Amino acid sequence: MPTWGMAIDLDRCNGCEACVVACRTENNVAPAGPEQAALGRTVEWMRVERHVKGEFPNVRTRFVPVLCVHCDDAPCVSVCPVSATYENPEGLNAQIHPRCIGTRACAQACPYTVRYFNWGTPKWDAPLEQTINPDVAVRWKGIMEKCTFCVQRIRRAKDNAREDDRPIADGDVQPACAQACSAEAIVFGDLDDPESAVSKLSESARAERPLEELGTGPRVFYLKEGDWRGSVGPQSSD
Amino acid sequence: MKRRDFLKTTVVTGTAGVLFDACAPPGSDQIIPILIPEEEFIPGVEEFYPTNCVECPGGCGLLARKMDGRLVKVEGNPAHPISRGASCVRGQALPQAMYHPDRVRGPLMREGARGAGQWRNVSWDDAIERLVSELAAVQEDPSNALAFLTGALRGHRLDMVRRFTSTFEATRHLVHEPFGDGAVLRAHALTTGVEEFFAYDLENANYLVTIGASVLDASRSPVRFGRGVGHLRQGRPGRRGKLVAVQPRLSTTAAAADEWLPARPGSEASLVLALAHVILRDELYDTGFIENRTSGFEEFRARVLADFDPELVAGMAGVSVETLERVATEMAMHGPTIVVAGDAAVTGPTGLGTAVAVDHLNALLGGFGKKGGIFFNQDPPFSEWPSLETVVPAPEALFANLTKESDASSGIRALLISDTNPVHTLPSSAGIDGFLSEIPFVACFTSFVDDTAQMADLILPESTPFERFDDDVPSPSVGIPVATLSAPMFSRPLYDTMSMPDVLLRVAAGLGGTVAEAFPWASYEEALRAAWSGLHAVSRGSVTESTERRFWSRALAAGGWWDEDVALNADCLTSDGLYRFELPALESIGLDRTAAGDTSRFTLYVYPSTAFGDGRSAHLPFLQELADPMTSVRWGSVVELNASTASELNISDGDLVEITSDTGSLRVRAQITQGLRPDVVALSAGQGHGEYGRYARGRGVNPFSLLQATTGSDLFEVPLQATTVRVTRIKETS
Repeated sequence: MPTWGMAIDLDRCNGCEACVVACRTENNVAPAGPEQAALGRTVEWMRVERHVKGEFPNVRTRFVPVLCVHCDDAPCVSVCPVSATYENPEGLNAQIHPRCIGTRACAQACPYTVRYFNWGTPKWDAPLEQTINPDVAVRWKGIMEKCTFCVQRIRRAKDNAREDDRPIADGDVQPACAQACSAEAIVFGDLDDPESAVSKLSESARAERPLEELGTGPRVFYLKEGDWRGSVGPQSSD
Repeated sequence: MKRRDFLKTTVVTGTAGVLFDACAPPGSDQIIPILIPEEEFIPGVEEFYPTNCVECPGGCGLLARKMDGRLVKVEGNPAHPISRGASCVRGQALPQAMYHPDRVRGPLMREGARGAGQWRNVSWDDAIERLVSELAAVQEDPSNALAFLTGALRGHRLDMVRRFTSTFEATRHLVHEPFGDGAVLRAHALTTGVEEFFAYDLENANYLVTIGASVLDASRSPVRFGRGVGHLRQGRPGRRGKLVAVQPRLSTTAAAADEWLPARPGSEASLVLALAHVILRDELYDTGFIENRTSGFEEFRARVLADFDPELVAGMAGVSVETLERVATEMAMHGPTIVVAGDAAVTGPTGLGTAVAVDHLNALLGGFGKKGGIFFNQDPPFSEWPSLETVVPAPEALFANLTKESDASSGIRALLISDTNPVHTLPSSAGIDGFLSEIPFVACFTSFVDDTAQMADLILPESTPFERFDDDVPSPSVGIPVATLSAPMFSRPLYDTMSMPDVLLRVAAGLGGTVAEAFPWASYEEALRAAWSGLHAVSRGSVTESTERRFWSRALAAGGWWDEDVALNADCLTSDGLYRFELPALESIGLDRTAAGDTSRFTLYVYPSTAFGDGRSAHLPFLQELADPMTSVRWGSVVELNASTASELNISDGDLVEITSDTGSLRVRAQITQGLRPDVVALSAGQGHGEYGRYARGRGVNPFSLLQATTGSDLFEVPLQATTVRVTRIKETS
C-alpha cells in the first residue's frame, strides 16, 4: 500500500498560480464572489503565498504553493469532535463532508492554515454548474473542506492499473495542481517507493518539511531555492 | 442548515450517493461523494478532446475533458510541443467561457441607439442576410470601403480574414493588439530578415535576461517560458541557470528571477547597449559568429564603445555601474545566454531601439543557431488555397493610427470586428468612440457583449474553441513546425453560435460573384482540410497516414501535427544571409541622460495581468477570484506605489487615490510596495470593463483610459510606459 506524498520545488516555481485554478476546476471549488472574498472567505485548497524580503531595489521574493501537507500525525484529526476527518491507510488526511458539523476546530488546530470553512452555499450561476466535475462531491454551507491530494484521481489511476492488470506505476497519479504546472515544480507519488520521483526529491539536500518541528510529520516536502553562484561553472561545453 | 436537514442529507448521501437537500448546489445530484468506499466507487467514463487555447499568443494545445456529456476541465495536451501537458491560469479557467451565463446565445440585432444595449434576437438567416446586404452596398459604390478589425489572429483564421478582405475593391485589415510586441517583430525583420518571434532553446540555456518582457506572467507564452525556466533552474543536476529581469516593476517574472534590475522606463535600450559595451570592450563576444555570420559589426562596435559606457548609462537607468559590468560579464562567461525583449519596454519612443539592441546583444553572444540559443520558427507545410486572380492583399495597419486621423472613418461603409476589444484597450484619446459612431454599419464576431460589441449594430455569436473547427500555428514556437488542430467536442454548439470563418463562407456565398468563387468550400472544416492536405503530402512528422482521410481523422485525434525530426535552423533571411547589425534603429537611443524633471509626476507603467492578459479573460469568475500573484487583489484593481513615494505623498496602504494624466483620471486604492521604482506607478491591464458579462462589468479600473495614443508609429498603438501622471490622495468621509 502506497503512502502518498508530494515534493514542491520552490526553485522551479515561478508563482504563476496555474495550480490554484487547476485545483479549483478539478475539485469544484466555487468562487466566493467579491463581497465574501473581501472578507477573506475565499476557499483555495491550493494557494500560492508570496514571501517578500528586503527594500527597493534589493527585494527577494519566494513563491510558496501551500496546500494540505497530509500530516502523519494530524492535529486536525485529533480535535474533531465528530471524527469528520481521519487519516486513511494511504496517508491522506480525508474529510467526510456529511459528518462535519462545522465546529471549525480543525481549522484552529491546523498549523498550516489549509482548512477552509464554507461561509455560504457555493454558488454556480447557471449554466456554470455544467463544469462541475462529477468525480468530486460539491460541499455545502457550514462545513469544512480541504485538499484531498485529488483522491478521485488516485482512484481512477488504481482502476486503470487494475484494468490493465498491473501495479500502479510512478507518475500514474497526477493531482490537478501537478498536472497544470508548466515548470514541473510539483511532483506527486509514493513515498514508500524508494525509486519514485517524489522519494528521490524528498531525499534532496534542498528538501525540508514545513513546520516539521511540531511533530506533525508532513508528507509535502519543499525544495529550497538553489544558489546560482557555485552551481554554474564557466562556459559549459555541453 | 437546520440540524434535521443536515441529518437528512447525511442519510441520503450515505445510502444512495445522491444529494437533494435544498442547500445543495445545483448539479450535485450527479455528484459521487468522496466517502463512498473505494471498492464501491464506479467512476464515469472520461473522454478527452484535443483543442487549442486562444487566450494568449502562446498557442497551447489542450485536451478538453468531457464527462456526462459536459465539458468539465481542460489539461495541456502532453504531446503538444508548446504545452507538453501543462497549462496556465487562463487555460484552466476556459470551461467557464463555454458555460458562462452571459454568453451571447444567438445573433443579436441592435434595437435602440448604439451603445444602449437593447438587442433583438434574430435568426442566423436574418443575420447573414443583413451582412450580405450591407456588404453588397459596399461593393456597389467604389467610394465605399470595408474594414476588418481583428486582434493578432493566427492559423487559417487569419488567412480567411485576409482572403475575405482581398475580395473587396477597397478594404483595410486593421489590427489591434495592445501587447502585440510589434517592435520585436520589426527588429527581428531588420536584423535577421525573419519577421516572426524567435524560438528559444531555454532548456539548454544557462542565463536568461528579460528586458521588459514578463515572460512568466502573461507575455507571449507563460507555459512555454515557465517550462523553460523551470528546466534552466533545476532540470539538469549540478547545473543551475540564472534568470535576470530588467523592468521597472517587480512582476511575477522579476520576483521569480535571481536578480531584478529596476531600470528606469525608457532606459532599457541604453542599458542593453551598456551591457554590449562591456562585452565589446572586454572582447567577450563570440568572434566566430561575428566574423562569419554578421555584417555591420565594426560600425556597431564603434557606436556602442563611443556612446554607451556603463558610467554614462548607469545614472540614467538607475542601475549601478558595478551591476551592469557584472551582469554583462556573467552573460558572456556563463552562457549559453538568451536575451528577450517585450511588453512595455518595446513601446514608446525607444521601443524599436530596445528590441534591436536586444537582438544585437544576442548576436554578440553568438546565440543564433547555437544549442541553448535562438532558432527561427518553421512554418508547417500547408497546401496553399487556390490563388485568387484579383488578389490585392488588403494593407494591414494598426488600428489606433487610423482612428487618430481626422477623416479616419471616411469611406468606411462597414466594419467587421473579431477577436479584439479596442473600446476597452485603446485610450479614449485614440478617438475610437467617434470613429465607430461615424461608420454606418458595425458587426462584431464575439461570444460576449463586451465594451466594443456594445457599440455594434449586429452581434454574431462566436462558438468557443470547444465547439468549432480551428487551427493554430503557435508563435513563439519551439523551432520545429507546429500546427494545432481543434474540432468540436459536441455534436452541436451549446447555443445558436457559429464560428467566424463559417459565417464568412456563408456571406461569401450570399454575395456571389468573385467573392463566392474565392471561397469554394462548404464549411471551414473543408477549407482547413484543404490546407492540411499539405501536411499529409509530406509524409513525415507526428501524423503520417496512407490516405488523406485517415490523416485528417488522426490529426484531429492527436490535436495537430508537428515534426520533431526537423533540423532546427537559424539561417538569416537577409539579402546576404548574414545577421545585420542594424544601426539606424538605434539612433533614437540614449540622448536623454537626465531623469524626468518634474518630480510631481510619475511614469505610469501598464502591464498585462497574469489572470486577464489585456482583459480578454476578465469575464471568468475563477480568474476574478484568483489573488494576483504580486498584489493579491481579487475582483478589483490597485495602483502600486513605492513605499518612499507613498510616504512623501502621505498615502497609506489602502488609501483611495486619484491618478490623473493629461487625458483622464481614475480613482483606485493604493498598494504600497518595495517592488517598484519610486518614480513609477503601476496599474495592471485587464479590469475596468464597461461591458463584458456580470463578473467583469464595473470591476476595478482600466489603465488604458489614462494613456496617450501614439502619433503614427506603425509598431505599437499605445506606449505603455511613456505617460506621466499625478497621484493625489482622496480624503474619504466615513
